Amino acid sequence: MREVAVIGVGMTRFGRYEDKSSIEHGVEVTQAALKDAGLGWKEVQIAYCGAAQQGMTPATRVLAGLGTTGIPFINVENASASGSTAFREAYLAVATGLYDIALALGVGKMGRAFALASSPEPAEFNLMKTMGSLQPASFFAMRMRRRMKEYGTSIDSLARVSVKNHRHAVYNPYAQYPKEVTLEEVHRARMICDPVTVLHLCPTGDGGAAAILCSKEKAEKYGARPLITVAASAFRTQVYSSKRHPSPDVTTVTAKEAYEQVGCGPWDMDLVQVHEAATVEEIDNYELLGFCNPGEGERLIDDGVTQIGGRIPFNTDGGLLARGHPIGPTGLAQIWETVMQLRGEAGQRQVEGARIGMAHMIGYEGVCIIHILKKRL
Amino acid sequence: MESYNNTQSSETGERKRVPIVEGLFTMPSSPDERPQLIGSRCKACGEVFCPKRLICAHCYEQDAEEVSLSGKGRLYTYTIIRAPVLGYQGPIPFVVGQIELPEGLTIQSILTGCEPEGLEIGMPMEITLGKLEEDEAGNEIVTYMFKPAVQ
Repeated sequence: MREVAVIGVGMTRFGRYEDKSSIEHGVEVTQAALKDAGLGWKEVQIAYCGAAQQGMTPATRVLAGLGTTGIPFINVENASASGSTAFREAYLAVATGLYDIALALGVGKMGRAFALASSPEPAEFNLMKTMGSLQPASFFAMRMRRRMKEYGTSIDSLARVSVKNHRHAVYNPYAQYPKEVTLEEVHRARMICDPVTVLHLCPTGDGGAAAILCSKEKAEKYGARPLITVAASAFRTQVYSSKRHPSPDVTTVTAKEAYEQVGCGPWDMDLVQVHEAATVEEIDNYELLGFCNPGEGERLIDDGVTQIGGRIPFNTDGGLLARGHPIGPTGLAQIWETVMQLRGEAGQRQVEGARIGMAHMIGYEGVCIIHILKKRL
Repeated sequence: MESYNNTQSSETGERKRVPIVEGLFTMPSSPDERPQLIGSRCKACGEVFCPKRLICAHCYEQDAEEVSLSGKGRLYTYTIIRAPVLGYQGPIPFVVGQIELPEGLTIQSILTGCEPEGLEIGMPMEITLGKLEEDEAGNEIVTYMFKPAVQ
């Protein structure tokens, strides 16, 4: 395997677009990433598109618009981890030496309501209905209530994750909700699934994000900017776990593999982007990624350790909660943010001296993908 | 008195009780009887699953037997769903929880028979049959639910 660099990134501001399709978002971000890389579309040799519930072959529908160059288009669907999967596959295409330049793209357009109807089969749908498991927010609500009981985590600590990530989003021009919220506003927002209010949850939305990957050797020729390389790419799915036969959480297993690839530990990171579809997930992930022991996660948010300016900033772009989560592009928005931070181009949300950053994504159900990007000095 | 006749012809005008899915729980034949969850037990490693599965998720052996679950357990966690849910026609808000069963698995269920304020993590729960929705003919679509256990 050879070293791979991320030489271009692009994204659209996440939000609700009445008059813009996911395909239009895809064209825009691909052109932005190509411009950022200083490349033409003709130079891309393979392309992966992450999308969920966007109709057939979104890759072709986006990329044929740029010109039919004859390269392979691969459509990737892994729920929330679709964009991260596209990035990983593009990475592998270059790392294995089969291609020199690959595009990873993600697009999404969602309605206001979202159900976990994972299958068109009525029997499968009815089973989910029977178990009361069609409302995604309910999983996070049940996890939150359990965590509060088990560890004594306070609703204030949980709400602080939303306050922090909304504050980070204020300085991200591509965030869906660049607006500060107070602890009181999080508590008093519309109740969705007790104790989860709407401000404990990520919004639905539309948008696109893209990255251009290139062999390090070739990337060095472009030269001018700090070179950002993929230091780790780890991908695991959850192993069966029960009371009698417990298995570690997939995030812990994937993180261990990623740290081993770099030869580092969690505290060597300068910044981290994690999947937090709800506030409780970010606190759980502090623990699952190895930043603290189980039950100690709330200390990191309470003490400001994970805010910009703290020892290890999490979700510097606002995270799923405030940057937004249109499913397909979300993992690539994390890559966009990490690249911006490592280049030192993140403006007012810049993490000083950022050299190494992690992007963690979860896909329904039990998919975990972690990438670690590093600035080459 | 409530009818427990599940196969009554619609000619009599009597409403039927129809299970939402087949093979997940038994239909009680009298009001005194509780439904039973139908699961499977891996003969190789003993792991129990509900819904039943042919291939064991733990040891991957394909040697399972059908088992009835006790239908009693403890409340692991719960929530009150207050927002509309796509594809769900029942009353809102409704309560959903996870029940730890003595067979070693946790099952998710709609909770009934109690105000949400009366629920507490760890409390004993037991299975019951409940109406989820009605079809066009007015038949009751029913499913298993859990309620606080009678002490």
